[in-house]
Order: sequence, then C-alpha cells, then structure tokens
Amino acid sequence: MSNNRIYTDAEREHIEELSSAYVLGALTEDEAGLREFESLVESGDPLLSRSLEQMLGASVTLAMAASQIEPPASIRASLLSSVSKLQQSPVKTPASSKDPVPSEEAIRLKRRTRYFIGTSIFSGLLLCVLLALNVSSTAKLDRSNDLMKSLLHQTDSLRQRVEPAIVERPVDSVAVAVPALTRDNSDLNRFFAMFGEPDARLVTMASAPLGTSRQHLFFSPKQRMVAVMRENLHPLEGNRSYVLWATVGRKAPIAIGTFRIDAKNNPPIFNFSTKLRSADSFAISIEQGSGSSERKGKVIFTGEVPKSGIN
Amino acid sequence: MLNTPQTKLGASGNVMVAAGGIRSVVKMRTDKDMSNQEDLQLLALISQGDEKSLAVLYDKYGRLIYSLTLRIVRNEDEARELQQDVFLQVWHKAALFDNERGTFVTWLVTLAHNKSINTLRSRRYKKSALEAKQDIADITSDSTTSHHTPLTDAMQTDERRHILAALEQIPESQRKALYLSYYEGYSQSEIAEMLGEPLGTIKTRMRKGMMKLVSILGVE
Repeated sequence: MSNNRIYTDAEREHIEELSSAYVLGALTEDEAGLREFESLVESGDPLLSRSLEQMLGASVTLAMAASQIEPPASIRASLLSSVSKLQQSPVKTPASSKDPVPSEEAIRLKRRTRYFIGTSIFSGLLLCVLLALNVSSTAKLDRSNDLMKSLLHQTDSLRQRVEPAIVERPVDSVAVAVPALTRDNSDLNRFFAMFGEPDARLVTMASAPLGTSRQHLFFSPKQRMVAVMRENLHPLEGNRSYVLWATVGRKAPIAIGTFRIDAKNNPPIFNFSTKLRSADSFAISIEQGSGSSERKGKVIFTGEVPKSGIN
Repeated sequence: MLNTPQTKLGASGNVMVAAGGIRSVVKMRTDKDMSNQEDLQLLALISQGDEKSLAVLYDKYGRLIYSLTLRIVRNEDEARELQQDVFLQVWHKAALFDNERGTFVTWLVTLAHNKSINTLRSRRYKKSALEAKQDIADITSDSTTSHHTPLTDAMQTDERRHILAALEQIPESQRKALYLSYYEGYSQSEIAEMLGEPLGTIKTRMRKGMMKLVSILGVE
C-alpha cells in the first residue's frame, strides 16, 4: 500500500475507530471489526500503523491512571525463584545424536526442494488427513474451537482445489488412497506418521501484540517436521515473506524457513535440524524480501510448545 | 514577576494546567526515550539469561503492572498470578521483542492488559446479568481517582497527576466508554447494549476519547 494514499475523513475516522477499539480490547473474536483491523495490519496500512502507535501510547497512560499499589514482595521472590529454577534445568538436547548437522546451504537446498513437493500437495493431504483420521483425530483436535473453525474453513476451500476423484471417494476409500499417494514421498510419509506419534504437538500461537487471533502449527520433534496451518496467514503485498522461527531455551530465535501465501499455496511443510527438536516456542514474522537468518520484521504470531502431545 | 509566562497564564486555571502540561509532556517524552533505551539494554541481557536484569525491570515496572491487573481483575490472588505470568513472559520472550512495534513499556502494559481482560472475561461468563449491571453502577461512581488513600496519594508522581488531569478533560460519556472497555473488558457491542446506545455512538465515543487523550498528552 502506498504511503501517499489520500484518505477521506470517513476513512480516517473508521481507521481510528478500529485502532482505538483494538487497543482498548473492545474488539472481540466475533466482531467483524477485528478481521478488518487485522487485514489492515497485514496490508501495512500506514494510517493504521500511525494510529495504532498513538493509541498504544495512550493506553499506557490509562494503565498509569489506575491507583498505584505496591505488589506483595512475595511475587518478586517467587518470580526470581522460578527463573532460577528454569536456568538450572537446561533445555534437553539429544546428547548423542548421530544425525550430522547439515550446512546452512544444504538446508536451504533441501528446504527449497521440499517446498515445491510439500506445497503442491499439502492442500490435498490436509483434507485427506482430516478425512482419513476421521472421528478419532477430530475428537483430539476438538480441544480448540478456534482450530476446529479454521480446519472447517480450510477444508471448504481445499475442496475446490484437490483432486476431484479423491473428494468424491467415500471416507474409507480415502484411507486407502492416502498411503498410495504418499508411497514415493518420504516427507509426506513422515507428515502422516506425525499424527501417530506420542510426542507430536499442536502449537497454538497468539497474534502479537494483543493475542486476539490464533494460528496453529503441528510440530513433530521425531520427524523433525513443522506443518503450519493456513488459517490467519494471508497473501502479503509487496516483496515480503513470512518467516517461521523457533527458539530453544535462552538462545536467539532460529529461522526454520521462509514462505509465501497466495490463492493457490498453503504454507509448506518444514524440515529442521536436530538441534530444533527441543524447540520450546515458535514465532512467525513478516520480513522484507525472502528474509534472513536475523529477524528484522514484525512478529505477528508467537506460541509455546505444549508439554503434552496430541495423541 | 508579573511579566513571566507563568503569572500571565495563571490568570486562567485551565491555561496554567495546559502550560504545565506542555512542560510535563516534553519531560515525559525525553524520559521515555531514555527509559526505553535502558529497557532495551536490560532485555538484551535477559535474553542472555541474566536474572538480575529481570529483577531490575521488575522493580521498575512491577508496581505499574500489578496496579493495572488488580484494577481490572479486582482480586488479589488473580493479580498475583497475572503479575508472575507477565514477567515470566518477559523472561521467555525477551529475544523476540520487536522495538520497531513500540516501546517495551507499551508491550508490557499491552500484555498485562490482555491477560487481565482474558481472566476477567472468562470469569464473567459465570456472572449473572444483574451483577454485570452492578458493574456499570460501580464504574459510574468509581473513576480511577476514587480509591485514594493517604498512601496511594503519596505514591502519585507528577506524571500520574498529569494523566489524571488529562482524563478529567475528556467528556464523561467518552471516559466511561474508555473505562468500560479498558478496565472492565466489555466489547463495543456489550457496552452499547448495557448503556442502551447505538453501536456507532459507542465507537465514536471511544475514538474521540482516545484521540483526546493522544492530543492532550502529545502521544507520538
């Protein structure tokens, strides 16, 4: 969106209404305004950015207006004690992994190849997974209404894209068709295997900074694989990309991969090196160009890896 | 003395407050810039696992965050839990903090506000409509300035006094819309329903109230 765009008074007021309501916490999930607001944020609307910055600054003054009360000293002690304990229990890493850590270039090449494979059939696969796993996995996924909503939404859109022959097959036939589709593709086999693993995690990420929207990904430490749901990721304008990051303990975030979303593509399935098996949180940022190993853009979603798996 | 700006401005109480406000705003901006630089340095150390830096940040903002969460949830146990949760989040997410999206204090306050409102909303599902109406009555008589005790008064800084004065300049109907959403966690639709006003009116009040606050305090 151009910085030179001229806004009418009505447009300006509408954007100010959205940003003020958002900062005050008055836009909730079920209000259309939230969707509109987040869509404007993603499009990089300059007036919204400016207005949001002002409103956030004003919200700090609202916080300061609350009667100032000293917190009990026990909270500080408890906080610092918790942090010390976290420091003393370092993140578990595979002590004697035999897997060699490939070079960055090798990872990039591998990732690129897998991107094309993964992207082209991810849509069909997701539908297959949902249908093949049928009732049992649906019950597990039902832990999150947000996820269910997005899955249903995604399934609807996928129906128009996947092979008609697969869509029209009855459910029990799909369960047979899936292994046939994945027979010659180890990535896809690993993707399906993820759902049978006890340590596969469903990571729920919240939108930054207010956390009103949700974005999910499946993370398999064993398969060294991350599958990001499309959900609230939309096509980006200009030369910008999404970058998926992972953090391990206190270390700086590590870029897992770059991706774009358009009308045809879902996010790819990412593979990662062994050191990220113990990732404890994920984030998605928007970066200029194809990103780099250092995060410079805005973090739009963050979420911690849950302690329990989906199975 | 008669020719000094202060004396001339002193002829009108309001103008005198405004002049004091400008000086205060200039000072606030300078202080905030410096403060944010300090915060960024502390965050960099926290991301490397420096517990002392977290303690420094806690000492700096602990009271602000606790006061906000307690004001919203009105329950000491929940406020304690939220306080710990917010600062643990700082510990875990220090490396992900994006300075280009705003200052650290803005992020911290937003985080605390969001968590508090979520707590309040999940608790509210269990409350009856009658109790919700009582909330409105409480808010009408309970501005943020109504809980003063000698101790809290003594703890007020010049900056806070200036903010309270700024809030007083916002028309009551707009101020109420801001309080109902920011401190009580009601959505625009809920506020419109509770106050028996059109949704558009509530949206306008929120916008005007926030813009007025931005304008008075010179928020950049």
